[in-house]
Amino acid sequence: MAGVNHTDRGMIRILFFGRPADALGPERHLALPEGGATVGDLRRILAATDARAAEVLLRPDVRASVDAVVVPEDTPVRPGQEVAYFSIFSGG
Amino acid sequence: MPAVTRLIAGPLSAPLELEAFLHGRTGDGAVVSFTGLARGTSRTGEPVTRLRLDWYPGMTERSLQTIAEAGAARFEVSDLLVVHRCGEVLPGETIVFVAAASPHRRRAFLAADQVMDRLKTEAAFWKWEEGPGGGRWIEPADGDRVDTERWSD
Repeated sequence: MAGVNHTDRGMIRILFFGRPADALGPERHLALPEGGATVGDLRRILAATDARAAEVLLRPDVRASVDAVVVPEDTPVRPGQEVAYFSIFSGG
Repeated sequence: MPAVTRLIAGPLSAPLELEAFLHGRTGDGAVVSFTGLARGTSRTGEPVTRLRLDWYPGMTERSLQTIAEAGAARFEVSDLLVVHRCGEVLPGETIVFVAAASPHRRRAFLAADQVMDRLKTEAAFWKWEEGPGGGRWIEPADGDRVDTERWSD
C-alpha cells in the first residue's frame, strides 16, 4: 500500500469518532469496490475485518457522513470523498 | 440576528468573552450570558480527572453554527455568541460560553437557554471522561434530552 493516499483514484478516506474509533482507530483507507459502493456497503466491508469492528459498526445508533455531512445508508460514495462512522453525539 | 460561533482548543476566558461582547453595545438593553464549567465529578458521583472532547473538523463547527443561528432567529436577538472548547478540558475550566443580546431581557434569556439546551444534546462532539477508575464515553443524559424537548414546537 506504499504511496497510497486518499486522493488516489478509487481510494476512500474513512474516519471514526467515538466508540467506532476505539475499535478501528481514528482513520483507515479503503479501495472503493468496482462498480461503486454506498455508505452501507463500506460499513459492511469494514465490519467484516474483525469481530470488534463488527460489534461496534453494526450498531443502529452508529451513523455515517460523507464529506462531513450526515447521510443515510444508501448514499453512494465517490472516489476522493471522505466517509466517517461515529457513535451518537455527546453534545457539548 | 448575527450568530457567531467559535471552536477553540485552548483556554476559554468567560470574562474576556463577555467584555468583548458588551463593548460598544448601545442598541440593546439586555445581555444574558452562560458559562459552562467542566465538573470534577461524574453523573454517578465518581471523580473526573479530565474530559476530552473529540470533534470532526467541519461537522462540529457547522453544528454549533446551525444551533446558534436557529436560536438567534427564533428569539430575534440582536447578537448571539457561542464559544466552545474542544480537546482536553480539566475540571473547573470553562468548556462553553454563550451570550445573547437583545433590546429587552426576555428574548435574551430565552435564546441563551434554548441554545444551551440544544448544545448539550446536539452539538457534534464525542465526550470522553476519565477518572481514577478509567475512562468512558459520555452520551446525553435523559435530563438533557427533556430540557431540549421543552423547545419543540
